[in-house]
Order: sequence, then C-alpha cells, then structure tokens
Amino acid sequence: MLISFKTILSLLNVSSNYTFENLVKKLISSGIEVECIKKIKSDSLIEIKTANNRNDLTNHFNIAQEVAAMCNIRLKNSYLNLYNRVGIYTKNTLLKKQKCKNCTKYASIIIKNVQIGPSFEKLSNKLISFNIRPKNNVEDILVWQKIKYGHSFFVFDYDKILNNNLYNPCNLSWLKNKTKIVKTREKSLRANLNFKYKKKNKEPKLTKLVNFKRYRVNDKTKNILLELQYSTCNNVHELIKHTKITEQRNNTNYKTNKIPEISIFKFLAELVQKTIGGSIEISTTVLCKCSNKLKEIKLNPGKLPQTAGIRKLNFFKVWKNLETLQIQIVKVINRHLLIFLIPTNRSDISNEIDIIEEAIRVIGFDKIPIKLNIKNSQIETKNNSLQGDLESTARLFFSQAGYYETINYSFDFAKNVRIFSTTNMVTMLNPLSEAGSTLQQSLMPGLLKNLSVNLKTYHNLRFFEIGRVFSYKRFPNTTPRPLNLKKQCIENDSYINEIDVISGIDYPGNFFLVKNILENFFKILKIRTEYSQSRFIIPHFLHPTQSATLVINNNIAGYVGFLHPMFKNYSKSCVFSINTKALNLEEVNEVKIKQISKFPGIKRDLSFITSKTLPAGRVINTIKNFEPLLDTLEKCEIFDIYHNDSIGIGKKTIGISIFFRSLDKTLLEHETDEVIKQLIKYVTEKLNITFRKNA
Amino acid sequence: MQFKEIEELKKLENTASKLLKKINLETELGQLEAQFLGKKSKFALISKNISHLEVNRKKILGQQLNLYKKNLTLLFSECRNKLSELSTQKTLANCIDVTLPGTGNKTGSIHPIIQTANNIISVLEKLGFTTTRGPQIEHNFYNFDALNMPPTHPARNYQDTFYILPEIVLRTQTSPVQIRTLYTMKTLPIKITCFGKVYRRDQDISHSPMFHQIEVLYVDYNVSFADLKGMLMLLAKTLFSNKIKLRFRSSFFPFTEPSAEVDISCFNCRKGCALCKNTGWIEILGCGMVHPLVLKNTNFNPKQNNGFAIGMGVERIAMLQYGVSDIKLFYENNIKFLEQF
Repeated sequence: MLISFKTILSLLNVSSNYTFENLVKKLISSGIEVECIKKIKSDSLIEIKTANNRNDLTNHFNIAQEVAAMCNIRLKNSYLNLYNRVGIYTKNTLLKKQKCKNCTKYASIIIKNVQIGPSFEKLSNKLISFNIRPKNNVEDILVWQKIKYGHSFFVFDYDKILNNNLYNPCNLSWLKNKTKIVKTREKSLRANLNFKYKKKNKEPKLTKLVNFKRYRVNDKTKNILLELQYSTCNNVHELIKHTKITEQRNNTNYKTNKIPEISIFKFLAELVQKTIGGSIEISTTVLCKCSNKLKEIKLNPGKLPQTAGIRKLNFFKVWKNLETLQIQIVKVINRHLLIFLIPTNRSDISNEIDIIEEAIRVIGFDKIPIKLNIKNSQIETKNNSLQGDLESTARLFFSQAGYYETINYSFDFAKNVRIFSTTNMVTMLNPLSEAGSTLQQSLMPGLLKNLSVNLKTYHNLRFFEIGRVFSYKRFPNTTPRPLNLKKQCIENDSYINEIDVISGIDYPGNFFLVKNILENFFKILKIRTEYSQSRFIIPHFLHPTQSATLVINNNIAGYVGFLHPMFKNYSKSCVFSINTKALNLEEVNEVKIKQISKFPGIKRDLSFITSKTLPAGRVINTIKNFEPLLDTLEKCEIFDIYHNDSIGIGKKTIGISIFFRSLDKTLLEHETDEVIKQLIKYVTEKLNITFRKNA
Repeated sequence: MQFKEIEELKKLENTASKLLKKINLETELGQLEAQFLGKKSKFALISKNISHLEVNRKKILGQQLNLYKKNLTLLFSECRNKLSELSTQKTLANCIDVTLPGTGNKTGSIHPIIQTANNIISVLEKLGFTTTRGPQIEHNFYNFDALNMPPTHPARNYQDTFYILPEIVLRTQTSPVQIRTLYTMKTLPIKITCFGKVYRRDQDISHSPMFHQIEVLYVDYNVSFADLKGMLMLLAKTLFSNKIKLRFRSSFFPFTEPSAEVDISCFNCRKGCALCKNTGWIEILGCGMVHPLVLKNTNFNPKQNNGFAIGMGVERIAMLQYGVSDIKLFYENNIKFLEQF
C-alpha cells in the first residue's frame, strides 16, 4: 500500500519541520514494513506492508493514528474544507431511519444536479502518483476518500434506476419482522457487494432487497446515488471522535448522532458534494438488529511490567498513548483490574495479552532493558542427543574422508522416487509441480542429481547426505478424521514413518575403499557390523553381485555396493546407505582393553584352497573362533587371494597370516607347530577346504 | 722512490688475490685473513717496524700500508659475501618447496547450512539448551491448531502449505516441536532448541520450498521480554560481531504475543549497501513471548508460567554470513560452491 508523507502529516498535530526520516522510523518500529520510498514533486510516497492481523491499517487516517501513539503526539481534527467548492450547496437533506439501535446494513444519499467532469488538477495528480488513473470528479473523490479514510462508497447514475425506487418496501418487510437478524460474517461483507447470509435463513441478497440495476456515472449524469455498504467502515468510532464539521447544519448533529456509520457516511457524502457540486436530496438507511457492541477486555496492569521486564513504568503515559489508538480505560475495578474498551476496527485485540502487546509497542521495544537470566535446565533427552552426536560424527568423518556434504529437496518426480522405492510412496496433494510431487524414500535420487551436475567439470566425485526418508506406516484408505483430534494426535503420532539416513556416493567407486571407509566409521561408533550378500535382501537398484547389505545385531542397517547396470552412466558409482534407526546407539559395544604382552610372538602364513564362492571372511572367523588360539591369537589377516586354473576350476587360494603371542611366556616353536596342526585340521574339516602349504 | 717493503706488500696483495680465487670454504678464508692481515702476518711486522724509519719514508710506507689494508679488506669481504651466497644456494638446493600443494586424500566439506546451524546451536548449548527433534510430516493439530492458528488462517491455505492428506501436512515451521516438547516435558525450566527442514509452497530467488529453521523455546516462571532481548543480543554478538546492534520491530505470529522481528545493524557498511538494501539494518529472525493460549493448550498455567520462543531461517543467516546472493546455490550442490566452505 502507498501512503503520502504530506497526507499523514496533515492528520498529525506536529510542527512543519517533522522529518520524513522520523516518520519512516516510527512506521518501522510500530511493525509497518517500509518497502520502498518514491520521491515526487512536493511529496514523498512510501510503500508499506502491514502485518497480516492488522487489516485496519488500510488508510492514511489509521496509519496516522499509529504514528501518533508511537510518537506520543495527538491527531489533528479533520475538516471538510479540503478542496475548493465547485457546485452550489443546498440544505434539503432528508434522513429516513428505521427504528433500530444497531448497525447499518445499507445507506444511500442522492445528490442532484451534479456536474460530472474531470477532477481538478491537484486531485488528478495525487491519484496518478498513487498509480490510479483518474476517471471523473465524482469517482476520483470517492477513491481519494477511501485512500485517506478507508471508507468504500459506490456511486451510480440515479436517473437510470427504474421509477427512482431505491428499495422495494415489500422486500424490506422481513427486516421489521425478524426477531433475530443473523450476524453476518464480516469478511464476506467486506469482500462482496451482495451480503451473504446463512443459507438456512434464506434471506434475500442485498441486490434483491434493493431491487434495481446499477449504472455507472458518465458525462451525461445529472443526479447520482451514493451507496455505503456496512463493514467497509472500520474506523467509525475514531473518525467520529476526530471529525469536526466547520459548517454546522440545522437538522444534523454529526457528533452526537447515535448511529455512527450514518454520520460518517453523511460527513463523507458532504465531502463529495462539496467537491463536485449539486445538492443532497434524499438519504435512506437500512439497519439491522445485530449487536455490534464494543469489546471490553480486563487487564491486570501488574502483568505489563512483568511481561516486558521493565521495573519502573509510567502507566499514565502508556494509557494516554493507548487512548490515541482508541483503546481506552472505561472502568477501574481496583488497582489490579482495569477494563479497556476496544474499537470495532481492532479485530486483532481479543484478550489481555493483546493489550499488553499494544502497550509494549507504545512503550517501544528499545525501552525494554537487556538481561540474561536463563536458569539451568535439568532436562536431558538422551535419544535426541545421541542422534545429534551420530550426525555430527558422521559429518566430520565423511567430510574428512573426502566426501562433500549435500542437501537436496525431500521431494522429487514420482518416477525417480519409484526407482528406489520399496514401499508405498508418500505423495503430496498440492505439489508445486510434478518435479516435487512425491516424498523421497531414498537419498539416492538427490545424490545422482548432484553427480550429474558436477560430472561435467570433475572426474572423481564423493558426496554424502544426511536426510530423512518417508514411507507409510499404514496406508490410509480414507481420510483420517479423528473424533477427538487433540487426543488422537497425542496418542497416535502419524501414519508416516520418518527415518534418518546417511547415504553416500563415490564415483568412480571402489567397493573395498568404500567398505574400508564404512568400517572405520563404525569403528569410531564402536559398532560391530557384518556384510551379507544374500540376493534376497540386496535392494533391487544395486548390482546383484557387487553389493552387500549391512547387518548390525542381525538387523539390516543399510547397504553398500555398485549401482545396478541399468543406471548406465552412473553404474560405476559405489554407493552406501545407513539407516540410523537400526544402529541402536544406546547399546554400543563397550571397549575392553587387552593386556599388551612383553614377550616375542610367532608369525605363521597358511594357505587354503577353497571354492571360489566361499567368502574369505568365513575362513577368518573360523580361525578366530578356534578355542586353543583364543588367548594367544593376536592378528589374523588375509595377505593374498589367488585364482588360477592350475589350482583347479572354480577354486581359489586364500593366504592367511597369523600372529601368536602369549601374555605370560615366550612361545616355543614346537608348541606353536602343534597348535597350527590342530588349527589346520579344524578349519579344513569345518569348512570342507584343503590346506595348501605353509606359505 | 722504491722500498723493499713496498714491493713486498705488492707481492703479498697479488698472492692474496690469487689465493682468494681458489677458496671454497669460509674457514679457509679466516685462515687466509690471519695470514695476510693478522697479528703475526708480514703486514703486521712491517707496520711494527715503520716507527724506526725516517719521516719521509715513514710517510710513504704508511700510505702504502693503508692502501694494502684497504684493498685486502675489500677483497676478503667480497670473497666472504661470495662464499655466503654460495652456501645459501647450496642450502636452498636441498630445501623442499613448501609452496607446493599437499598430496594424499583431500577432505570434503560440511554443508554451509549445517555449519551455520552448528554455530548457532553451539551457542545455545552453552546456555544449557537441549537439542530436540520432531517429525517433518505433522498433523494439522501440531502445525496449526495447537499453535493458535485458526482454521481460517491464510497459512493453512493450499497455496501456502504442502498437504499429504487433508489433515496431514509437511511442517511449515519447527514450532510443532515446541508443542510436542511442552506436552512431554513437565519439569521447569524447559529449554530446547530444534533444527530441521521445513516446507512452504513458495519458490523464487529468495524463497525455497524447503529450507531450514532453528527454533528456541524457554518456559519458566517470570520470564520477560528483557530475557529474550538478552539472549538474542548474546546470540547476535557471537554469530556476527561484538559491535552489532539489535532492532526490534513489532510483528505478528499467532503463537507468540507480543511478537517482534529482529534486525541487526548491517555489518557490511555504515550508511547503506546492497546487503542491507540501503537501510543499515538486516532482518534475521522472529521472536516473541509464548502466547498464553499455546501454554494453555499444552496444559501449562499461563498465569504462573511464561516463556519466549525464537524462530530463525538458517539459510538467511548463512546467506548473510557467507555473502550468498541466491538461495538455490545451497541446493544445487555444485562442488565449486561447496569446496569454499
């Protein structure tokens, strides 16, 4: 919204040297965003944005009121003689009122013998500076009064209304007979010309009620009809207070009129009439019985310094500035209880804390002292901190290992997600585009995207990502509508599983290099892992023979291996993924120190001929589990794996180096030889393999 | 007039200059210097005997002796410089070129958003705040209802929020974690911080449909806005600079009251620059006192307890800290960008 510095200044009781910078400063501190400043000839236009709960700040008058409260200054009274009079002023005004105390539903005034033509230059220029194209003197003045005071008028050609009947009395009879007029929704009232009543009551729309077609004014129009739609007046009470008519007339006292909307309407109608000429002829008002009482809110004044953290507070000054915002004390019950009256346009103020906020705003956030008195907390959430630790350890470890951390969107094309999907996909009802319609079930699509972005410039790439993947816990057939929403939410969290995953990609990859990195990572975490190559549990998007699943405590905790050859360009990528939920960080293996022997040890190299399909790990594990060696075995490592047809078709040789050392004595050759013989017998029989020789 | 001594001095000078050309070591130079200019040298002997000569001869020989000394000193110093230069060159030839890059595995990097978040969280952890987590897919109740956002609130619109099911959404802020924490923790003070991804249906140069937020919640007895200001001041000074100033602007969040948006004085300029859009201030976060209705919804007594909450977009702070102009750079994951951190 655009506001004019000079117009704001004209509404404030300040000296002429009040600076533009001061105004901008106050606007910002009162919560109005200043987005852009445009200098024009003799004025400055400020583009502002208000908080979305302040729908009252739509005109200069209300903004001036905010500035006045913030600056501790008063508002000027508004005068009608804003522009030069063009037409002749007559006193033939007739006000028809229904006998009803409450709010206006409809009001109209007819101005006869008007002279429609272009607006005077000052007004036209003003509208142009507000990016509004001037039309004619009557429409322009209505637009301007809306910008300045926030009231929407509608203007029509009166002569084109059939038989000059403004409303059909038969249709209006329902108003008299109704004992209860439905309180209409303000929002819809504000938005539409036609009032929307609750369907049940089947009440007529205003257009039907008024029963005539409307035609816009043009150069030939002689008589005009000004209409006011209720609820467009959102600052009625404030305007009433600050409006002072310079020419008091016989039959109307605007200030004491009990129906404020009407008086405001008349005030503004007079503004129009004075600008364009003509004479006010007939006024019509339709009222309803809906109660539109002002809100009253109780406040314990002690809560203000407590919330703000200010010890000494000048309450008198605060209440006085609140009064500028029309929030005034109507009753003092005792020292600890005041009752405030809230104007109708402040829909954002509904309880005690709202008044406290207004008061703090008036005091100024910069007046609140700075203190840091945060007590120590005793609360610890172990699971969360462990998860946090795991993530930070992973980040540090993988970045040290040469991986770049990436962050990708959690959603992707459904077809991309489907490639890596194993369960029901979670889709969005209102995605931004097809590219973000489905939530990820693996971090791989994102990592592959990162690969494709960087492959143009780099040849060796390593990325990792720590993120969340989503899948349905149970797939809902129908929309869940819990009877007790709050209870349901607290007891049963969600339909969707969310799992934190650590994934990485290495291009061009080396399985054993990546495996080594993972082994080192789990060593830091003190977690024992195994690698299984069962084809039934290896994910379908991995290479069936060059990948493995990661097993921790007999649970599948992830995978490592090459991508399936179907990923043509990326099939050289070695990937891994770790499900952090499966790590069970609370049960990590505690370190138990082994005694270090001071005696010399003995090294033996053994070689076995095995089937090509026998994993070397099984041979190693069998040796490690050989009981007579449990105390003395220090190291057992593979030093060679050899394939050759000379060994036998489908056979391989595994060379294993074993190192023995005793804690309490020097091992003798003949003792060791005896144990080695037993070991060879044990291994060959257990695994059905052949001992080749002492290497 | 020729003297025996003068001829001898000339011979000595010639010999010295010939010998100096052959010399390679500084120790040899020292010995040679002693031989030709030392106390036991012929030069010293001639100088000693000069007092017995006649005045005229003394004068001539004295001049020759000075000339001899001057010439030889010059020759020796030249030779010394030459030798020292040679020795430096020899040493340099054996030196490794320390300006060459290191070899072996190069490290990667932690994502800048995570680095920024870690900086903020470490400050909060020092103040005793515990890091918590929450689901990214939330029920309307946690994401809106419990946060005092009525069913008609514009943020609940399909245009602004991603919906999975009519009542299940991708969280639009980390504030639902506040509600979950307030439900589960009943021991005061409650001091939590939460970092995570949030989603809003918005995409342009400064908005991303997915971004990261850090939420801070402190609930206790007698917490005031002054405490909030104190904590924010500490946070801003740690993250940016000690000279930083804070500005609070009144704002509106349904779950805090009073609410404010916080700007920091521009650390890049004094009067105005592109970073602060010539205002001298940069918006960094939103904060406020926890709304009594939120406390009531979570079974706390707002008459006894109150607290404050802070929510900040990590991308925004990272953009300010590192001078990133386009938010998309964080999600493109180009190594040219990532390797700078």
